[in-house]
Amino acid sequence: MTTGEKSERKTASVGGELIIPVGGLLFAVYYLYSIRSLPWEAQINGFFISIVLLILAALFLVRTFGRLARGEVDLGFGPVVGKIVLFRKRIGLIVLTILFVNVLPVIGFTATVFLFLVAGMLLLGVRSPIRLFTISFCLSLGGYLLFVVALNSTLPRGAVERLLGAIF
Amino acid sequence: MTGDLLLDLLMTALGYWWVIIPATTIGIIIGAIPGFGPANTIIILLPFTLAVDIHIGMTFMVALYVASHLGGGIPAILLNIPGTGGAAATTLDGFPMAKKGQAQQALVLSFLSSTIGGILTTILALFTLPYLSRLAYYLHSVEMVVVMLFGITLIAVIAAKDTLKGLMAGFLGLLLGAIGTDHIYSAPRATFGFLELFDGVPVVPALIGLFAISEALVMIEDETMLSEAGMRRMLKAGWRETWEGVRMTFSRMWHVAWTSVLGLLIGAVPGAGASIASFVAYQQSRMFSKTPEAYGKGHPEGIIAPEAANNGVGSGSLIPLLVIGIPGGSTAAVMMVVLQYHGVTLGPRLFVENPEIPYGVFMTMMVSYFVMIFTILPLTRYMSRVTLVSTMYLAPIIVCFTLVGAFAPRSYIFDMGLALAFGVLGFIARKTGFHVVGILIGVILGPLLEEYLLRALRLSDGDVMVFFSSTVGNVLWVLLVLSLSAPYLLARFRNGKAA
Repeated sequence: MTTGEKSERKTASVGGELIIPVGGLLFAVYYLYSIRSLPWEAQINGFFISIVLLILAALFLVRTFGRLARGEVDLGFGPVVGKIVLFRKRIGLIVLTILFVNVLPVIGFTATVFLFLVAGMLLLGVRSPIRLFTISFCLSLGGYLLFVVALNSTLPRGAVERLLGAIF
Repeated sequence: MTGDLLLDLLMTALGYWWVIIPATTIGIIIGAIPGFGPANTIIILLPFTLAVDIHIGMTFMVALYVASHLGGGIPAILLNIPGTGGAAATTLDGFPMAKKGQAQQALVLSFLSSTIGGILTTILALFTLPYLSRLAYYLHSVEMVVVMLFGITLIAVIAAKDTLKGLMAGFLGLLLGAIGTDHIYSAPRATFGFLELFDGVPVVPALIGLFAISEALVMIEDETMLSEAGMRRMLKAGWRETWEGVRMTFSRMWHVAWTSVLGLLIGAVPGAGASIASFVAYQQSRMFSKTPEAYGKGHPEGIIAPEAANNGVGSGSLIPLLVIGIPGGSTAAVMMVVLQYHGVTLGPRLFVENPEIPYGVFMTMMVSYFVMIFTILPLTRYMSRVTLVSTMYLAPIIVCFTLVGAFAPRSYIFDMGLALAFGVLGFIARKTGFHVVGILIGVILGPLLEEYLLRALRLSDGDVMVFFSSTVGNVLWVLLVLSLSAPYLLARFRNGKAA
């Protein structure tokens, strides 16, 4: 095979495949550390699972680095990151979800759902203001009727719930 | 139990149609929303069930309970998001079938196998109540360890393509399931300092994260969830597809029957649950199939097995409650509260003093299943249209409302954050070839396995030979080894014949 042919051959990007094995390895080490001074009954289950996970992770790393050494793969994160546009949308959705979780106890369920749906659909490409408002309004109201009124769940209540509760 | 009594109870159950129809509707909706299980709903509606007559209250609870098992399969098929733990195995073949534009057929398979499996096991339970109730006396910690291993071996089965990745996913799930305080000393293990993890990783946020949130992060790659061919098929779909689903189910009635009976037997053991039954049924169905390589790509039997089994559990889990007063699961425990409030004494005397209550429960289940066939089956054509909705709308809606489901069981905002963390883990797993189902199996079955394992070891003072000390346990070990080796032996036998 010539150098030109070699450079044309695409290698699979397996950098992303290392995230879970490395994460699992670190978690197993942490688990073993957390149980180091416990009685055997508290250790036995986690000990065996951690050891097996460590062995499996080590085997996977050896296999991957072997393929890397042979030039069959590279350490790119292509499959996980994907196209940059999609990556930004995913990060945006995750950030919105974090905001959802933090804002929910402050302004209540209905308002948070409404704002999240507007922001989420806008992020993913919905541009019609009528659709954004109508869908978000109907779903947040539907959520209020189902979860707050019908099921009487313990979701945080804010000004909107108090207002609707006072009216109806 | 006499024929006259059963006929009277059947007529009485039919007379409560005005309770059964709304209860099954609520149950289906509740089952379809991840996080809102039947136990939560019955607790919320406890003031109603306590205030009404005992027969109306029980009819309502039983109808809601059986409907919720059926409802869990709807989002599992349409969105790859199981509504209940028992529907997690349904996603393996239900969603691939939906992506091919066969969502209607998949839903029909799910509904019919749930209802027919439920009817069969209800009839079976009626006649075998005294015998099935004794199962709980024969299945102790040792035997339960082997039952758990049946479910855990599914991790190896679904890891067929890349065994190393599959096993890593499973053991990562088992280790995540081992977070929390141990059962004996209540010593915290790997809780990262969070008090909310002292009781272990809650299953619902893990399920929602691994399936719902990760699916939302994946689905935004395309305009819709359907493939091109799937989209063309869905746009032309009509009543013909519903009938096709009916034909597919009726041509596999033996499969419906034996997987639902498997669910009945597992459900009759207190603490076993629908999650275990559906995973075990899927694993066994795949093991003994002539086309195991077709599983995971939209195989009809991959939907039938878990759905029939998790409705078989519905019949089975009420047996220990009624016969020996031990609830088979959380929903049965709530039902026990209602029965005791009304002065009903559970146990063998119930069949002497108030036989209409236990037999009436099974009659109500049967009528509920019949009602659901006629109310839900025609709706499959319209439900399947969800797959045509653009992911620009679906993804934020899924994230938002499933996070509510993550919050519901414990009312902790922490659980929403946990669901997001599992969502990111699930997304990375999906994009790198690791099985989210393997992780979930570990999270669900790991703590149960540890509990039974430790109990057995404590009783034997640490002697591991206790796991081979009982006849029933040894029979289960043999069945486990046979079920793992049978496919290879069968394949070699068939290859030998072909040669």
